[in-house]
Amino acid sequence: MKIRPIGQLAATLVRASAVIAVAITTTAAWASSHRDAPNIAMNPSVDGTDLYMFRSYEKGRADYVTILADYTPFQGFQGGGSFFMFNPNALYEIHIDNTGSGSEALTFQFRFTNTSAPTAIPVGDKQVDIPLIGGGPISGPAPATLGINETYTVDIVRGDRRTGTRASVTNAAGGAHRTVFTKPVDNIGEKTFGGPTGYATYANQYIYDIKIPGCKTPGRVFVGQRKEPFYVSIGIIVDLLDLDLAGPETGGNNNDQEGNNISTLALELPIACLTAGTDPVIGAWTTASLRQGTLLSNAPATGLNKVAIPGGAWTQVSRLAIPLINTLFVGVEDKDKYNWSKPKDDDSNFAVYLTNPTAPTLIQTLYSTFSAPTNLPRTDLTTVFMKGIKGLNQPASVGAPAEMMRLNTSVAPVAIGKQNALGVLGGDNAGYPNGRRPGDDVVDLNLRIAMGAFCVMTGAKDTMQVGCTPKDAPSGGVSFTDGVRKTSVNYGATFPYLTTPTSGAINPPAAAGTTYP
Amino acid sequence: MKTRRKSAVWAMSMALAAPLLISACGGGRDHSDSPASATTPEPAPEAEPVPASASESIEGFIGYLQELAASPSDTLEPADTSMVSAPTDETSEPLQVN
Repeated sequence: MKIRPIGQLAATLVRASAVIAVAITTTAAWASSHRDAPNIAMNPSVDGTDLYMFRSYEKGRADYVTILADYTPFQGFQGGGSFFMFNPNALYEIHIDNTGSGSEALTFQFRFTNTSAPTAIPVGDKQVDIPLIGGGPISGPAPATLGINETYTVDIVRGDRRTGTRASVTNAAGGAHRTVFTKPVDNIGEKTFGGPTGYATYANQYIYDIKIPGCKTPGRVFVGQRKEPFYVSIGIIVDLLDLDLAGPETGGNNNDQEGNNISTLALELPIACLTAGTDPVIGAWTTASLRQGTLLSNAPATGLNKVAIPGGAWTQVSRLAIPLINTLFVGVEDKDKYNWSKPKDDDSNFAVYLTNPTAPTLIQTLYSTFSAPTNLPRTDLTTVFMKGIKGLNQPASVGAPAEMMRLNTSVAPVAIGKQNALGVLGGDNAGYPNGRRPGDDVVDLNLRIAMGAFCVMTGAKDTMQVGCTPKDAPSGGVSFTDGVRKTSVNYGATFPYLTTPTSGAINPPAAAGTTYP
Repeated sequence: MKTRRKSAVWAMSMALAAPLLISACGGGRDHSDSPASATTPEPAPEAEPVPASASESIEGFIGYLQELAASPSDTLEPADTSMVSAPTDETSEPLQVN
């Protein structure tokens, strides 16, 4: 049955206009963590959009964990002329808690540098720089035709992310510049890269084997543009959930992210390097920070990165672990605060948004067919998102409740093609919320979790110890969906798993409804 | 269509010419008693240099930015940043500025 909210909404507007107003604003950026808060929406290059963490399912790599942190949302594939570079004035980090304390034990830091190598051509009696990043075909390493070279370093910090012990991750192949890695330029187009497979061949050169101080086994790193892996029907969700929430799970709606790309930080790390002692559970989150103060030059010199003069300490401006947490749960006035916060402080800062979540009530308000769970405080949500599920991905020692992505590294990976996009709720314990794989349908899953799916799954005896039972969640068994579904086969079978970005030079007709006389 | 475009061009020409005509004939008024015409624009304000203290410590740098934030201006030119060397630190937490 197709359920539309229009009639319900009309009645609701009369009796609860304030509630509807909140509905509009809290769903206004429902796309994992794309533009999840007012301040970060103004700073896309440091806007973390998605975090993935899973046991590597590439053949022969089961002893590794892959972590993908995506930044810069809603990248149209035509990104010219400057495309989507990481911010050279930012610090990008991936944090690991391997003790259950809520604080980082390991941090991987990424710092970027842009170097100009302009192509000049003779015009009359003068050599003049051309205005394009790509000055000719690009293929091999360090192409002379590339006008801006984007490089980065990776550090590992053990202990506190600022005061801990920092050491450089190095290229396992050695070389004079073994601490410096190259990010391939974005997918400008087939003419630049020499054909349909040219970009993939070019970009794959920049997957590095890395030596990590303190780890016996090398890992891998890749940083670059990828096709946006997150899938969702954003537009109709934002429009007061104008969709059939219990409709077809596949093909019900279109993926509004299908044409977009994303900028990815990808690490593949030995499990033995990530865990501590005998506890196989790790937690992860990604952050981006800017210098606390930035002065703008009154007269920028010629060259790259001459406009901003940043100073002071690194100041966190973006945070992300569980998809949709800030977008779907945290109230409008705390969204910026969330991006500044640390997981260890979540209980005092944000727990109310999970113990007493508004999203289920809003769904119930817009769709009288569905009922919000009645178990308040919602211990099922605080368990799944802030502690981990006992026996699945809860650390042996649980410190302060802290929102992060938790992965039990002892759960064997499931091969590509055999994964269930519904993860744990679909009987596949190697998937979300035990970590997250690219194909996991976190939109559908978070809708279901919010509406009490784990209250149903745990059964009358609450065997999963989430603090509720099926009677608390009248709609906990509903297959909520946004109508968009992908699976593992839509992604790569090898590191970095995310696929080649859409070419910047395709020229499709405008989408229906976007052209006017 | 052609006529309409012609008319539009004529109207625009007249609109542009009118002030010139008024000016050329004195605008129909005697300006002999008018004060000196203020046609000379005010000189652009000099760019103030960023104080040296902003380069000496993070506290000085952030303190200077706080001063800027406390006194936004719609009339000043940006400060001269040519001598600024912004101090940074990898290990400290942000300063309290609220």
